[in-house]
Amino acid sequence: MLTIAQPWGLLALTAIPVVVGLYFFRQRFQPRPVAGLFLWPSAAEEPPAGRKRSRMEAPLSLFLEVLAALALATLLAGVGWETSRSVPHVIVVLDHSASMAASSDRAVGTIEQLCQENPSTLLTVILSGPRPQVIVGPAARASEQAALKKWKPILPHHAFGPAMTLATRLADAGGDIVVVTDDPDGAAAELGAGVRIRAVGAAQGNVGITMAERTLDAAGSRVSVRIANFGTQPESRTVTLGVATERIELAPGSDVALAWSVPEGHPIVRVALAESDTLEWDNAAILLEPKPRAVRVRCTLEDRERIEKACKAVAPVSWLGEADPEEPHLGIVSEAGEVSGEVWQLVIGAPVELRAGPPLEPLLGPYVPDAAHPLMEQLDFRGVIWSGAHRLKGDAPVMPLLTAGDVPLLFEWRKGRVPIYVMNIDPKRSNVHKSPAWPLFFHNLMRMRRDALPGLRRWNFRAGETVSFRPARPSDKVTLKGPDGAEILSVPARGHVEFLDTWQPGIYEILESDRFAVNLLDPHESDLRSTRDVAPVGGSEPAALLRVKMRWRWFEWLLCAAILMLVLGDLAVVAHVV
Amino acid sequence: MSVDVADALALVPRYRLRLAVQPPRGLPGDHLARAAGSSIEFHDFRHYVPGDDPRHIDWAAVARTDQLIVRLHRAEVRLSVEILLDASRSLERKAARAVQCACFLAALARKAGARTTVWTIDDAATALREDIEKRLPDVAFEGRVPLPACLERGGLRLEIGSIRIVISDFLFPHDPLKLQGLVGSGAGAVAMLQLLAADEERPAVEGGLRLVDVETAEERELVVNEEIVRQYRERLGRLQEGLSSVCRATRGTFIRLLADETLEALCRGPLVSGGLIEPVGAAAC
Repeated sequence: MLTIAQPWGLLALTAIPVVVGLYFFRQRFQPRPVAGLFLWPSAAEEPPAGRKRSRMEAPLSLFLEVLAALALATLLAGVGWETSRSVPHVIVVLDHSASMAASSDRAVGTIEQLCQENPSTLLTVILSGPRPQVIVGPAARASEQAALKKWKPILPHHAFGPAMTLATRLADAGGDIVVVTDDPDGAAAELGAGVRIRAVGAAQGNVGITMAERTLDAAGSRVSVRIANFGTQPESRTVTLGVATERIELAPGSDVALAWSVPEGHPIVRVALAESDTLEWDNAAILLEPKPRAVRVRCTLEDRERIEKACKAVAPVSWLGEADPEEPHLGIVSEAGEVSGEVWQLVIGAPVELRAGPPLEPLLGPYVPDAAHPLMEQLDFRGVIWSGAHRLKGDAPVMPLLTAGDVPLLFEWRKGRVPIYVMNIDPKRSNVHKSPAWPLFFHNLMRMRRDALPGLRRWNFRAGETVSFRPARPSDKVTLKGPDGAEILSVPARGHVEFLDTWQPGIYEILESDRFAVNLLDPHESDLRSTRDVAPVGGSEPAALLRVKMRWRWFEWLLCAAILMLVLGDLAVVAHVV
Repeated sequence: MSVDVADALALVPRYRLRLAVQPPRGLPGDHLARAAGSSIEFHDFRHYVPGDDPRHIDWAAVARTDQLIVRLHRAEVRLSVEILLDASRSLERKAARAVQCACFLAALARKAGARTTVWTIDDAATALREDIEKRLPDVAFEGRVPLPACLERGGLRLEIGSIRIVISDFLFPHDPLKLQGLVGSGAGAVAMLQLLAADEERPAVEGGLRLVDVETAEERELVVNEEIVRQYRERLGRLQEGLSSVCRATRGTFIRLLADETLEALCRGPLVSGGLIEPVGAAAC
């Protein structure tokens, strides 16, 4: 069936009458009256030229140029010939989890075997994962499996759901879905009966790092790792941390936790198991040095001791004196505006401009918090005598976070662009500082403020975790390069940027700003004891047929033909004139 | 058309027609005829037949042979010259020289005492016998019918025994033998003067041209290169050779004239060398 991809391209056919017109115009020579025309050679003896409104004698160049115009019009219009036939179509959902690294060759061999059952089989390979990826096809010829050869499973444990959704959509047009995994039981439990599963795993022992952290401590940082033996035999391993080494013995099914203190000046440390085993990826971890993110606080209250005491457990906090030139991140004040600039503020006591009357009698509760607000997380004010609270004006621009009756005791005052939290209390006459909620409140407040500081919150992540980064200015462009140098997709959120595609282990660079490390630490994937190679589940009936439209395009030879005809046409004209 | 007839007439005293090689036939006049006549110039003997002028019996021969022998003498005839001027469109650009030639030859003929007629042949034939020099310049060269077709129509009443001079370019498809038959039938002599322009005699290599036949309006687009010119000249040569051969065979004259040359040059050159005219001084010699 003849198809036309770009019908407007057929407008190029108008070039044909133009070419013909130009040909006539070009071929109309200057008239010359002669007495004896019969003496001049006749048309048969000399390649002739065209005549106006008369038969053209062997118009070779015109013929070639018209053909060239026709070829170009065909090219522009995307004219092609489409045929359709039914061929077997196999859609492979390939388990992309890291444990498949131990069975990748068997997985590729299984897929090749699926294609060899019928040489005309069309193949689609979808890598499983939160964001499934089609690496072969859709409906590619069985020979087009180059991407499969480069396949390297890297994901932590994940569900087949998104990949199966994509596979099902592709299978609607025809095709059988085959799941290739090393965890047939897990796949069968998730996908249910009726799905063809090819198990390619093999139960093996493995020793791997299942956890690695690096946290700040007084000397610099502290590296903690946990190493597990997922085998049935005792194992011994040499663990290296830079130049330091440690020998450990691991009983079957046990794990060992190790910790080292690393002084400052070691931005990157690499923890590795010296002996290689089934899986290589869980034998090493890269950890970047965390950076202190101290919240600078300026407190103008006369009685700041209770607050400082509460904040001791909330590290790190940096208290600024009145003479310190640095701008604080948070001001704890008795009246809004006591701290200049756009600074987060915690106001202790109801602001005068919001008060609607004299202080209320001490309140005993019940206290109703806005549990969804991060500032109120896990706060319990039961037993607190809340004194010195004022009713607020009806039109006060506040968002209550904690109320007693209709009195907002803790609220956000929406006065400017930066948050101002107000505790409607007289602390001298209240026992709130003796409540467990008191340090927790400051913990929540400092954590919120710390999270709002520019930069990264952490520097070491597990693969697949969403990494959040807050640029110094919201308008700043943020570019993230992955371990292989490729740019990583970033999603702007409210004031910060989220990096979603952090599946690949290694060090990620936030250009001109910071960097973080991602490690593939997943005990489920390191544990190969449950992987199996069993008989095909779901039968091995022939693959369903896919009606395939084969579209034949003639770009190359059409273009060549057009050029050739133009050249030949010009040669014909030149030869004719000369 | 501007024709300098005066220049042509000025040449008349310097030349005269070389009249026919074989004795012409015609009305009694100043020129000896091919047939026997009554002039004093002896021509032949034959036996007497009744009706012969008894004055022509050669009595001396009778005495010697005892038979009546008649002495034949060439008749004296008056010469008639008919100039056939091709007035077709193909001669339009050469009309001035053609008219000059016709006037000049007509004047020479009259000077020789011949009865002179100029036939202008376009699509019809028109005879001019009086005021030839005045009327010829007014001839319109607009004929579209080729000369042989005009002659075949029979519009021309050519005199028996006349000397016929055809002025044309002969650039039309023809059979030279047939053409000679049409022109020379009953003629005392025939001279064919082919008047060509220089670019007709030797066309230049000019590249692409749309050639238009001035008479038939037929067109042909050609890239005029050296090969085409060679083929053209080859064909023209065959045409001229055909006419020349026929003329030689019939004791006629075929002369090629270039219209781009002056009449005086033509007189000194091809007309004299072709034997149609001769300088007055040379005849005396």
